[in-house]
Amino acid sequence: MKRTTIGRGLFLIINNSILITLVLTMIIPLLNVLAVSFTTDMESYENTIKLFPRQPSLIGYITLFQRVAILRPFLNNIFVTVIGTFLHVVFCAMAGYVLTKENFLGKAIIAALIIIPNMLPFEMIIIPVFVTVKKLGLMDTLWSIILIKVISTFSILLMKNYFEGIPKSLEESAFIDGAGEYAIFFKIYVPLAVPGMTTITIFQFVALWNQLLPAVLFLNSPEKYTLQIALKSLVVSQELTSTTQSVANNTRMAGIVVAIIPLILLYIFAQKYFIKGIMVGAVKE
Amino acid sequence: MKKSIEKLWLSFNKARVLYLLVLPSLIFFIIFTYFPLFDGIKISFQDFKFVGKSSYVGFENYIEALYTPGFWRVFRNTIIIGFSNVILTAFIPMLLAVLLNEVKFGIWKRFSQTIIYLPHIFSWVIVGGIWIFILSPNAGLINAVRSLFGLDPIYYMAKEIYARPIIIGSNLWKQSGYVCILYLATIAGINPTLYEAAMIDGAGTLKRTLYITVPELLNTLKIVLLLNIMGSLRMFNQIYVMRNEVIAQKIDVLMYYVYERGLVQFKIGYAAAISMIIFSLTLIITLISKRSLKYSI
Amino acid sequence: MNKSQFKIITAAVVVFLALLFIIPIYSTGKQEAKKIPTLVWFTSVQGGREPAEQPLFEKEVFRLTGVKVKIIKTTEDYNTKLTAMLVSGEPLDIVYIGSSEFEKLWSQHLFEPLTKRIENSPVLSNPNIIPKSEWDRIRRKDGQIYAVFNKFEQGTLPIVRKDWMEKLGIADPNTLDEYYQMLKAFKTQDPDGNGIDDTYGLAIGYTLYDATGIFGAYGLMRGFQKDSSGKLYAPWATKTAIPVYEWFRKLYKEGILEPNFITNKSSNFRNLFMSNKAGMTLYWAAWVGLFNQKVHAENPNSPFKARGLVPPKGPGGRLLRAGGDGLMCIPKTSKYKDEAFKILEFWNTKKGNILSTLGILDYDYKIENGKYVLTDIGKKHAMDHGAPQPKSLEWKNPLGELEGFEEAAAIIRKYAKPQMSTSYDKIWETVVRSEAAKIILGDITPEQGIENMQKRFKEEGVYK
Repeated sequence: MKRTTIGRGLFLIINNSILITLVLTMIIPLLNVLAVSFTTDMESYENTIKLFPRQPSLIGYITLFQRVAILRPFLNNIFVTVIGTFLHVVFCAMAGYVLTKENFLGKAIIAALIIIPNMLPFEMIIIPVFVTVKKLGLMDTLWSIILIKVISTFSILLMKNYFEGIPKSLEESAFIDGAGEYAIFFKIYVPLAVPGMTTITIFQFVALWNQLLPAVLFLNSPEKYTLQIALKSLVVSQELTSTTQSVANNTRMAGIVVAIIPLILLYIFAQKYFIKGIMVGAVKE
Repeated sequence: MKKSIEKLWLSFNKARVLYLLVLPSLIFFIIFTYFPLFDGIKISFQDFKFVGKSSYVGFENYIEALYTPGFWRVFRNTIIIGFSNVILTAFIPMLLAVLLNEVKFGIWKRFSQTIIYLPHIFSWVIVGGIWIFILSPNAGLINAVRSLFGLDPIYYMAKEIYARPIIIGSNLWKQSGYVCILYLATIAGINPTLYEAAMIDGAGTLKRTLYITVPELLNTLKIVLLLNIMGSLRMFNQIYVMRNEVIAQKIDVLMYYVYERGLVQFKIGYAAAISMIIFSLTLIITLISKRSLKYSI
Repeated sequence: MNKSQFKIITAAVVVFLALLFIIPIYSTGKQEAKKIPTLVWFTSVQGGREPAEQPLFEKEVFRLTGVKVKIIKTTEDYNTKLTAMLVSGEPLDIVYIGSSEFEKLWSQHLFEPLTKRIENSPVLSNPNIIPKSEWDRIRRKDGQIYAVFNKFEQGTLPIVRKDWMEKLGIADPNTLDEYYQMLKAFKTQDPDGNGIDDTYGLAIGYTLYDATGIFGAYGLMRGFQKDSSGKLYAPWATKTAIPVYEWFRKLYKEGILEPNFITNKSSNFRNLFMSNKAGMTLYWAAWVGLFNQKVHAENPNSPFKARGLVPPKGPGGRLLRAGGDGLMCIPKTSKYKDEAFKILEFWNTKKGNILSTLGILDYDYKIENGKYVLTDIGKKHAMDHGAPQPKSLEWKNPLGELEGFEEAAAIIRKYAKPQMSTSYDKIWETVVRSEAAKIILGDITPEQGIENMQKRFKEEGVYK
C-alpha cells in the first residue's frame, strides 16, 4: 500500500505540473490582454507581455465607447445572437426530434438532406449565398446574418442523440392518455431536454457572437454593424492603406475584452447544464 | 394502383406532424445550402464573367486545377495537416481527460477544466494573434525560456520545418479543452461500482484506467474522430490568420487556395471548380469513415 | 392530437416563417421607393473617421454637392465584398479601387470610360490641378481613361528618430554603409538612455514590404518592370540585388534588424518606432507627421522627433516608391453616372479638398474670423477624411501640415516613382517576400533565393 502511495504522489506531481503549464499558456495571454486594455496609449505600444499596467488608465475604454462608439455594434450583436440562438434551438430541437422517429415515409431523404450541408463550408459557396441573400431582399438587414446560419446539422444531431436518451416509456404512457404528437414533443420531450438545449445554445451563441465574414458581406450601413466588424477594423489594423489613422493598442485590447466577457459569463453560468448536455447528447452512441 | 397511392397518403398523413416539425430546417437548407450549391456547380463549368453572359467551358476549370502544381501543393498540405489534426485532437484530449480525472482537489479540477475550454470560444483572430506573439523571437514566451538555458532564439513563424507543427499544435491547443470535456462527460457517466469492484480486486490507478476508463471512451472516440474528419478539409480561418509568405508553401490549404484564386485573383470559375473538388472529397471521406467506424445517424 | 390543434399550429408556423422573409423585403422595398436618387459609394478608405460618424459625412457631401450618397466602407475583406456585389448586380455608383485590382478587373469591362467627361470638366481638365502626364499614366491601351484619382499617393521613405541622431552626433547618412553605421549605433549606443540594450536599428514588417528606398541605391524598383523588348522582369529577383540582400543579412545577423520583420503587421513596427524600441522604419511619408502627433499628444515634453530621410545613394542613384494609385471609378451598371461624376469632380475642387482633409464643417472644423480651426474631434481625425493629401496641385492645407510631413513629402516628390502595376503584383509579393525572408534569415544564399524567385515566377505563368 505504501509503495503505491509514493508512486501515486509522483504521478500527481507530474500530472498537476502538466495541467498547470497548460492552464498558464491559456491564462497568461488573457491576462496580458486585460492588462494592456488598462494602459495609457504610449504604454500600450510596448511589445512585451504585461500582467499589470504600469500606470492604470481607462483611456482605452473611453476611446472604445466614445470614438469607436462600440455600444451600437454591441447591442446589434446581442440582438442577432439572442434571436438567432432562440430560433436555432427551437428549429434544431424540432428537427432532431423528427430524426429519432423510426421509419416514417421519406426519413432517409430527410436525413440525407440534413447531413450533407455539414460538408459544405460557408466560405466555399460564399458568392452564390450572397446572390441568394440579395434575391431574398435581405441585404443590409440584421436578419440576413441571423438567418443564414439559423440551422446546423451538428445541433440537429446533438438534439437527436439527446432525445434518444429519454425513456420511450414516458411517451407511450402519454400516448395512451390521448396526447397528440405535438403535446408529446412540447410537453414531455422539450422540458426533459433542457441540458441538451443548453449545449446547443452555447455553441450557437458563440458561433453567432463571433461570426465575421457574413456580417462584412451583408451589412452596409454603419448603424447595423455588429461587434465583430467593429472589432476587426480595430484589432487588425488597416494594413496597406497609406495614412489611415488607427487607435492605440489599449483600445484594441479593450475591444477584445468587451467582446469576450459575455462569452465567458455565459459559459461559466451554463457550465453545469452544458456538460450534462454534452454527456447525453454528443457522447451517447 | 389506387390502393398504393392511398397507402402512400396514409403513411404521409400519419407522419404529417413530423414533416411540419422538420420543415423549417429543410426550407433553410434548400434556400441557403442547396440553391447556392447548384449555383456553385454551374459556375464551376463556366468561364465566369462579371457582366454579360458567362460561357460554358465543360471540364476546363477542373482540368486546369489538376495540371497546376500549386493545387497539388495545397492538396498535400491539406491532407498532412488535416490527418494530423484528426488524429491528435482525438487522442491527446483523451489523455488529458484521464489525467484531469485523476485530480482529486475539487476546486482546482473545476478551475482547470473551465480554463482549458476557454480557447474554444475565442475566434482565430484572437488565438492566432496570441500564438504569433508567444512564438516571436524577441518577446515571446518560448524563446524567453530558451534564453534561460543560454540557447539562441528561433524565429519559429519563419522556419518551414516548424510551420506545420505550429499550425497543428495551435489547433490542438484551441480544440483540446472542448474535446476533453466530451471525454470527461463520458467518464463521469461510468458506473462507479465498476471502479469499486476493481479497487477490491486490488487494481491500481493505471490498471483501472486501462481496463475500465479507456474501453468506455472508445465510443466517444468514434464520434470525435468523425467530427474531426468532417471538419478536416474546411480549415480556413486559422490559416488566414496565421500564415505568412515564408511558410505559406507548407501550410496553405485547399480552402485558402479557393479564397485566394477566387476573391484575390478574381478567377471565380476556377475557384468554384476547386470548391466542388473539396466537397466531393469530403463526401467520400465521410462516407468511408462512417462505414469503417460503423456509425450511423 | 385533434384536427383543430394541428391547424392552428400549422398556421402559426407558416405565418412565422412568412414574416421572417417578408419583413425585411418590405423594409428594403420602402427605402428604394424614395424619390431623390441615393448614390452608393463603395470604398475602403475613410481616414480617421469612425463608422458611426459616416452619416455626418454623407450629409456634408449632400450639403456641398446636392447629391445624396450612401457610403459603404469595408477594409479587410474588400475584394470579397466587391466581387460579391459586382457578381450579384448590386447597384454601385462610385467604386474605389487600387491600381493592381483595377488591372485585374479591367478586362471584365466593368467600368465606364470617363475620357469625354474628364475633357469637358473645367476642374479635371485643368493642367494646373492635374497635369496631363498624370492622366496619360492611367490611360488604357484603348485610349480611354476609366478613373479619377483619389488623392496624391505620396510614397514610402526611411523615417528616422532625428532626436536619437542628434543625441549620438550622427549626420544624415548618404550611402548604404553610412545607413548601416547609423542603424548599428541605434542598436549599440543606447540612444534612449535607459541603460538597457533594448533598442533596434530598423523595424519593418511584411518582410520587405516597403524597402524600395534601400533597393533604390542599386536602382531597383519594387514589382515588375518591362525590359527593352517589352518583357516583364522583377528587378529584385536579379543579380544586381545581391548586395542589398547582403546588407539586410548583415543587419539581421548583428541583431540590428528587429527580428519579427516577417510576421510584423504595420501596427507592430509602427508601435516599436513610437515606443523607443527602433530608430528607423520604412513607411509612408504621412506617418512622419502622425508619429510626431501621436507621441506628443500624450506626452508633450517627449524629445521624440520623427523625420524623413533622403534615401541612400548607390551605383543606381537614389529611388523611392510612390504609392500605387487609388482610383475612383463608375461602374457601367450605375444609373446615376452624371451625379457620380459630379462627386468625382467635386473631390478635386478646393471645397472637396477641404472635405477630404479637414472634414465636416462645425464638426471637425470651424471657421472663426475667416480662419479654419480644428475642433477636438477634428484633431483626433488628424486631417484625414479619405484623401489627406489631395491630388490637386493647387492644394495647400490652410492649417499647415503635421510636424515633419512637408520635408518628407518634398523628398518623395524628388525621388519617388510609381511602381508599374500588373495583374501579377500579388504573385510578386508572395514569391519575393518569401524568398527574400529566407535569404535575410540566412537559410539560403542570395544567389539561391534569386534562382528560386525566377523558378516560382515561371511556375505561376508570369513569363508567358
